[in-house]
Amino acid sequence: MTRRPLLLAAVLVTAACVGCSGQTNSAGGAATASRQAAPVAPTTTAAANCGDPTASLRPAPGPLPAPGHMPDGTFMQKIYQRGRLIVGVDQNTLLFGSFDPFTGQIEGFDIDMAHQVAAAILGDPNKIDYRAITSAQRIPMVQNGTVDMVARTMTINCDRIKQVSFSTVYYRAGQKVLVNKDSPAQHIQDLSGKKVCATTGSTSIDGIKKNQAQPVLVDNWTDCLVALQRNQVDAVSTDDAILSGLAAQDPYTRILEPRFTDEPYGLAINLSHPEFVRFVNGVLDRMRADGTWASIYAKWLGPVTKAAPPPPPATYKD
Amino acid sequence: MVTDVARRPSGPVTPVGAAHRPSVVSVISGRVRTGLATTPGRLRLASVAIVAAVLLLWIVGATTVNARQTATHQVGLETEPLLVGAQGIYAGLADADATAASAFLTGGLEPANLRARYDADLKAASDQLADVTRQVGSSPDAVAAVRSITDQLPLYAGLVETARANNRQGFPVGAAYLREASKLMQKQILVAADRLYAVEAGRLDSSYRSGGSAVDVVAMLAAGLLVLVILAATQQYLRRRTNRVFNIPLVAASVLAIVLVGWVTAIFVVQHHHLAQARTAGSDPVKVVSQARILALQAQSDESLNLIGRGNSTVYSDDFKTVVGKLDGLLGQAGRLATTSALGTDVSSSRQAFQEYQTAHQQVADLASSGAFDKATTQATGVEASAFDTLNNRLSATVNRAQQQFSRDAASARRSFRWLGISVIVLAVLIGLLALLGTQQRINDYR
Repeated sequence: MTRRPLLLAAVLVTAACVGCSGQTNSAGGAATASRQAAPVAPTTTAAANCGDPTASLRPAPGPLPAPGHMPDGTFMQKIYQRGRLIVGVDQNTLLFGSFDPFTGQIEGFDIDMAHQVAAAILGDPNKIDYRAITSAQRIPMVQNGTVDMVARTMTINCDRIKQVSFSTVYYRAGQKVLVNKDSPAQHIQDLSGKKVCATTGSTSIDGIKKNQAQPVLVDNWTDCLVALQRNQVDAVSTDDAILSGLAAQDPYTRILEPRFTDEPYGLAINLSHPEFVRFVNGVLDRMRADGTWASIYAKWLGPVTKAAPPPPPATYKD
Repeated sequence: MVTDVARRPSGPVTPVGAAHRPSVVSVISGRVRTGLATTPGRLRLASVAIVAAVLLLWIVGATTVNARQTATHQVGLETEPLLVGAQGIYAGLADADATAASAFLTGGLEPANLRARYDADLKAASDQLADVTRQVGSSPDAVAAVRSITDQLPLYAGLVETARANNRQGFPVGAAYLREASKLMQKQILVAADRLYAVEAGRLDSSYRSGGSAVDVVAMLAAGLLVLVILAATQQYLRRRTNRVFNIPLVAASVLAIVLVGWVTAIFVVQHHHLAQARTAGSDPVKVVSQARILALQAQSDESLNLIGRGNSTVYSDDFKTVVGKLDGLLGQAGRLATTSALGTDVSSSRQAFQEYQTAHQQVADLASSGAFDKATTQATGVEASAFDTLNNRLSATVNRAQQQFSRDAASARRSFRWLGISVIVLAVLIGLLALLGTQQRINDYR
């Protein structure tokens, strides 16, 4: 009698929980089977069942407050009084967050998300102080309040939602593999036992380990490209979004299909600022509705993708 | 006619090999015994002893003079210049690294002057490396260090060029190549340069030690004393036997022996003084201030890489703090070492430049920690960079002044040996001849 509800729960979890379901090892053979052929294997960490980790906090009812008119006592008002939004970003990942040496600006898809939030609070998309951080610094920097928000190709998963809050999903990526053009590898499985680069503290490490490859860890994704170009690793494996940026810097590389994980990106915010999470979700909702999201997607990812997907729908837990 | 006795001056002592050749030994010892029984025999023995002692004095004199002269030459013309060469390599490489990072930090197309400086640094370091390679010769540690630098320098330059090529296309992987290059420089190449420097510093120390060894002076005095004692004993014996108060040649020999020992010892003292001066006013400050300059360059690399990373990690800012702490200590040490007023002025102006650099750094650090990296970068490539240039130039000037002082003192130390080698031979021969003359005159009285 107890088996049926359990099984039902497992099915529900697998269906709903895109970012964290791989850990339900109730089915003994599942892990091996998915390693063999599964085009979309469940992702990442071995955290406990957490429902849908991408379900976020619903925006407050009614329209967003106008820039400069943040409700009293909110974190947004604090940011407004400070005059700058402090955002933890990547400056090494082309297309998402990278430093342009000619303009001296940091730019990319993630950065444009931050610009939207800054514009909504401060009335000026450029009133941002950037902190370039590594993958491993994302959670601590949010937790200790060094940054107001992290916009840095950050996957929402069960482990992380215990440590920080996430906005709704603003980009849906998935793990793939980047190899040299002349590499014989056709799938991630072909890289079993080979050296595959990833950054310390990224969810990509789990995907590499699951495929019996040997992870080589560095600080930034560009360091992975350096390692690949210097023949120190056989491949780089991480989200396709990041890999596209690396491939754009080196025409002698190719990306291996298919995606073997699902990586929903969210903006990370300190757990103690739910009102800010709701506000950011309101901004994201507006972007989904008024075409801003689509134009930002076209600007950065249009050149490297065939068809623009619709914005990832928001899911809420309340 | 005296040589046979010379081999066994102490007849009564039975040689170890006596059992094997009893006949020969007994013949010799018999002769010695008969010889010693007569005054001419004793005088002959005395003359042999004097000649032997003078020979010893000559050997000791020639050896110690030679050893000190060689060591003094080594200090001035080999080990110290090699040490300076090793420092030149180190500083050139550190400057290249700091310049590459700073050019990158400036953004856009790297400034032509910084590119030129990087190229000049690498060329200077390579040239000095070639010079040092020719001279390191025997030391396996130095050879290994030089090889490590030679092997990795092209790799470093390659990484920097790759960083540049990517940077010119606006690719962020350029910054990653620069970090990789800097890591190679700091963790491998500069470590090898430091090892080379340590080997050369050790060799300089040992040159200084053998150039100022007290054993030389003691050996010289002991040999001189031995000659004088034998001469005095002979004169005493003659005075008793012949009732002549003075034997003029023997007195002259004694005076010359005193002159020889006194002269050599005096030269040793003068040479040691110059050498000590070369060390305390020259090579010691050169060492300390060069190290300070290298640390300053390292700090500047850290500063640039920290800003390029935009707070990405605390590795560089932590290293900056460590390096600046050491630099402060070295400048304090340099202040204590500066014995001449000119050098003292140089060191205190370097310290002042260091204070200004730290002030400039603090402004940059404050801007960076508030997240204003653009302003911090402007400040760093403007005010702080020029404060750094001042510091770097003053440290270089201080090193140069100390090096000039070293060269002057080392040259004086070398000059003190002029005529000494030949004089030792001439005097020793004269002493020997006079002693023989003095004893032979009396021996002839018994004919």
